Amino acid sequence: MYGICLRYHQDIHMANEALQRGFIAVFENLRKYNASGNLGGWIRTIIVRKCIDLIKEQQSLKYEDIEQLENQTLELGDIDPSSMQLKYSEITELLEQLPLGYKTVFSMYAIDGLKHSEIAESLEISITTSRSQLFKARKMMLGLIKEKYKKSRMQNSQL
Amino acid sequence: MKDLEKLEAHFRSEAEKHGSTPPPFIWDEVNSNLPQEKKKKKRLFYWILLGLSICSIAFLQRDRFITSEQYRIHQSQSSDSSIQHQSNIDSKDKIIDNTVTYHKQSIDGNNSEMSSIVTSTKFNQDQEIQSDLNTKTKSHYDTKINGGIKSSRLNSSMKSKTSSLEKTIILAEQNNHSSVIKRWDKEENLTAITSSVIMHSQNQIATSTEDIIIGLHNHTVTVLDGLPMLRASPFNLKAPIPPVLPIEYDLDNSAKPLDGVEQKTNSFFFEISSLIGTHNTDLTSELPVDSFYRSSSETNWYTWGAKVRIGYQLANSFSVKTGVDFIESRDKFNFRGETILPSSTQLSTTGLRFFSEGDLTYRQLNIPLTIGIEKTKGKVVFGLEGTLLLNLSFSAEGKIQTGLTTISRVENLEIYKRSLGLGYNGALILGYQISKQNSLYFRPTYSKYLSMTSKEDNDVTSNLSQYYIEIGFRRTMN
Repeated sequence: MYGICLRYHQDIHMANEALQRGFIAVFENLRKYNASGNLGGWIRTIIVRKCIDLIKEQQSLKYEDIEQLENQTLELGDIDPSSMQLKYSEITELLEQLPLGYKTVFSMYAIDGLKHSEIAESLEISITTSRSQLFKARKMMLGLIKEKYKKSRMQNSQL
Repeated sequence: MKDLEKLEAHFRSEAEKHGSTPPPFIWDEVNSNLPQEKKKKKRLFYWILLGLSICSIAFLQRDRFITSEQYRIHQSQSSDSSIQHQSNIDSKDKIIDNTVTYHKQSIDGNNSEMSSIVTSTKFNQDQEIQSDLNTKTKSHYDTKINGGIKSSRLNSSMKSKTSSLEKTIILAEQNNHSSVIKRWDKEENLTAITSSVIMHSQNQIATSTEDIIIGLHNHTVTVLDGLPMLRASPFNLKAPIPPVLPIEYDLDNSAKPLDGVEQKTNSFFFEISSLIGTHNTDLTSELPVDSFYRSSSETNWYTWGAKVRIGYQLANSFSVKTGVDFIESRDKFNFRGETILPSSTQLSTTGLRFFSEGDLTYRQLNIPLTIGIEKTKGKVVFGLEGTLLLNLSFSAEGKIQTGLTTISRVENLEIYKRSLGLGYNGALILGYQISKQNSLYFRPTYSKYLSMTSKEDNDVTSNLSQYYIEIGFRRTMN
């Protein structure tokens, strides 16, 4: 869970605060937990939401609707993702290169598995905005990965 | 899109594999936050419980209070009367002396009255004692409240003289609702209580004390519960007004029951009070700079509390009392936008970079032992009192936002002591007697604990003292 906090907050103090608030919320709401669900997933959702709350307290997240983007395709081209074997540290490096708004939506959807409706509720945006932000974030992430792939190929060829 | 999904699946799997350990203090912070919430709930629960208890006691005692209030007699009311009957009868029952004393007084603020009938019966086999009783020298009545009903009884000085008498003392009391008659035996044990519904006079239910007296007069009173009522002969209306209500009564000097002057007696009392004021934390440190930063950022905001006491007031004006005190003092920190750089040593509250804003609350639960002396002039009471305090519980907690981030933390759980031991306070007493039993008090008070409120190993130490005005209500029990 601390990893989640560190992913959303580069500042270690903020990550600590988010984790603390998250676990306090977990304990306070433990009675509300439906035992039939996945406890880990439930805690994770609370922690993510607390991370987002803290981000919102610190800075205003601005999201703009980006229309007509979902018709565009997002492909890696000739890159085989399984061959890349990106480590976690490399993934977080890539995430940090995204603008805060993109990074937040991408982390929530692609890594923490939240639905657009949940993201929209947490960030107080529309579902359409959440989708368009994700699309933009994915596009940018693909660009970063391609760039990283090219660099690593060049390094390998030099060797 | 499939490539993207694969990539994101890889991200998820890496994120799940990757574990980071948070710094240990996080769990302390979480831990210290959670019990606080529970404590607050518990505290609220105890306050509600205390409130309910006080309300319940007040509700249960209301009849007693009303009854006691009703017993306040206006001496000037002319409806008071007294009848004494004395006769010598040599009957087959061998009753040779039968004295019935009836007195009646109106009761303040109500169309109620209280009457008492005291009967003494003497048998002829005890002639010596008969003469003794006839003279009634040095005999006293004392009055007591039994369950809110005033009763008159022969006191213990009569016991030896009446050991062979069939002594019956009956109190008949009537108010708006019912008549009650009580009977004691010669050992002064309450043997029977009868009410109007079972008492008949002249073949009718007696509905008033007068009915009962008339019944006594006409020998027609019967009591259905088996309590034999004494026979009585015609009354002689010659007795002085006996003191039904107050204090001791000397039959030899009965015409004026102390002219209505209240004679001070030993009595229990109950007090409840609240207080408001301020305090001083008296910060000290080896390095003056440490206490400077703390005291610069701290405002002694307010002190409030509540006290409940029971006590015993001696006739000579001394009193002793004990109970429970709850007192809360609060400090405020307000340095939004200001930067106070700390020293390199730890500050007593945070150790972080600077105070921003927040507050800190000190709560104390004390058991007091108070000795006081009071004098009364008219209705004004004044005096002094000193109290030895035993602090049972002390807590200092608060939330102070510090530093450049918005990290909030509960403070001081590890910095302050959990109990402070002994303390003391002194107060001036200014009071006003609302009535014989009820008084209001104002007490300017200074209070201090003997030990430090902070643990000794802190760089900045504090010692709590308080200044407050206590406003209290006292009810004296007869």
